[in-house]
Amino acid sequence: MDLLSARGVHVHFGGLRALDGVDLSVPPGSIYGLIGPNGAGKTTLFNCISRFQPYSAGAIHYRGRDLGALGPHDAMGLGMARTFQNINLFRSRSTLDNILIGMHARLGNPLAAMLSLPSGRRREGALRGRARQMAEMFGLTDVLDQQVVHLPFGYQKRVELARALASEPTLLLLDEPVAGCNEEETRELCEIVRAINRDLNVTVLVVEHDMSLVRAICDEVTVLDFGRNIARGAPVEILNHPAVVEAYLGETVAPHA
Amino acid sequence: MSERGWQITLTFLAFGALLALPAAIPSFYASLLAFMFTYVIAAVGVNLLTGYTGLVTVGHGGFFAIGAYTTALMAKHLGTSVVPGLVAGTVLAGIVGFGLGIICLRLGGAFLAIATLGFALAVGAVLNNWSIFEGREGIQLGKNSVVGLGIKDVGFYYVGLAVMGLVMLASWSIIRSGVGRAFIAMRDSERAAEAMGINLRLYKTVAFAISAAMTAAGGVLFAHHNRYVSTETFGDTWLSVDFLTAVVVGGQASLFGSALGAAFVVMVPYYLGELRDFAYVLNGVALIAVLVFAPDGMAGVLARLLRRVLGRTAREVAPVVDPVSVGRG
Repeated sequence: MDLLSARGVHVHFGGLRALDGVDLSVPPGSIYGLIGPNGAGKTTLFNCISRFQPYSAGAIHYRGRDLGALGPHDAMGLGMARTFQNINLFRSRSTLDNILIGMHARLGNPLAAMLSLPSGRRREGALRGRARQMAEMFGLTDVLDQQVVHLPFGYQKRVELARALASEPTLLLLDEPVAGCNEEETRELCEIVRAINRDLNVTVLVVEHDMSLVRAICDEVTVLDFGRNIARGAPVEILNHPAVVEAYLGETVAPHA
Repeated sequence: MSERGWQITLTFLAFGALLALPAAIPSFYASLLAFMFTYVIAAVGVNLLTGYTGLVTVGHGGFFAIGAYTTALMAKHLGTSVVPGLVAGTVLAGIVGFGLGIICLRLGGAFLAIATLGFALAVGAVLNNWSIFEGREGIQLGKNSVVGLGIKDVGFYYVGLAVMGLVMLASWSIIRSGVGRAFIAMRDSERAAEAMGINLRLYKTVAFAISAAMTAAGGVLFAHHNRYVSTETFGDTWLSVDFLTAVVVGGQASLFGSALGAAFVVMVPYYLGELRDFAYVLNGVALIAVLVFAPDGMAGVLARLLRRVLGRTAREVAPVVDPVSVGRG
């Protein structure tokens, strides 16, 4: 069974049909790509899945559960974590605090935490230990106590990933993870995402413009254009699919991503 | 010693000094300081909401009034004193704060500030017009006692110090917990906070409720300190403005800052004596000066000075990121 599935999802902004009956199914264990030209609706679908965007018709199921009535803060508790297109960290906080906030779903009894009761302190200690492990996994140990706003770009990207994974999700949603990255940073990020998928056993759904990333890491992709599905398949087939070529470049030119 | 170590040490030293102080000063000054403590308590409450959670309130004078009038009416009709008043006043203000939080959920920035200002005005109007509150006539409170023991200036000083210590400890405990992290996360980025599983509605209203309850504790003590409440003090919005000024001038998101700021708004009019109305001007000037030149307030300025003095220690704690030496690994 699919980990995540969307059926006939509609989103209208006034007269504009941002999503016009879109389907998506993400098998567990995969790195799945969601691509399309600008304005295709991929970010809108991404936001429907992460619950930041309501949809007017259709259904989205995650592990068989209908997401329709849930809010953005419910996603993390179900095991879905997301990142943002332009890095969106808690800027005044340290790396460690950012990762700890990512573990919010595991806070336990808020009263015990607020009053520093023994049970609250025990849990806080456990969370901090786990946060340190996450930081180590992402090479952030050196900057654990740094305010994230002062960190270099590549570090901020990794803090955001570590924060998303801190809650040990089963599905990681990445919104254009290499936007603004240079070639070297893109390569580094590809490796990190592969490692997350392989070593942590996390399914990844990635919305992306960058075809080199899609080719390098995705097992399968869905292509959207003007709010509709136009193709689905392995990256190599898809990038030569006539409808995809047309959507991206017009009829005559082949994509050479 | 780490920066945190310094903080804890200085806090203990400060409280130790405050414990010993009444022995060294006339009881009149002990009473003045006790008055200041009530403002510190209120400012700590405002700071939790405005400094840490990022929700600007210009209405906490309303919660201060709820605390003061709850205990005043209880004293008048039930003959109770400080402790029952504290319990009832904070609980009632917490409930009202929760309600106001729900009403203000969709508001932010200037709109929230105006809505909370409206709340303070509404409280003032109720106090002025509902006869049980006695309007400008006011309500007299009897002699103060704690669990049956009568207290005067110095005794009240210690009660104030204890409540201030408790409120600060509670605020500190909340802020360093996962709940406090959620408050700060909402201030830094609501979208990201939501994505981390933080229920904005719940956490905002809870922040409102706790903050209101804390400020009301200050109001309860204020009523017992003056042994008199009337709309002369509680009928307008100056208290609300004073508390916000204290938090901003003292230093947002800093407990020490709230204490400094409260000392500022209490002591300046006191030492101006005859010219005390001039304090409003001075507060305004201080507010603008801080916002323009030192957004982290008096506490921030002091911390920077201390770090410079303690040079090396500070650098150990907060090394400047150097992308070259850290590497791009």
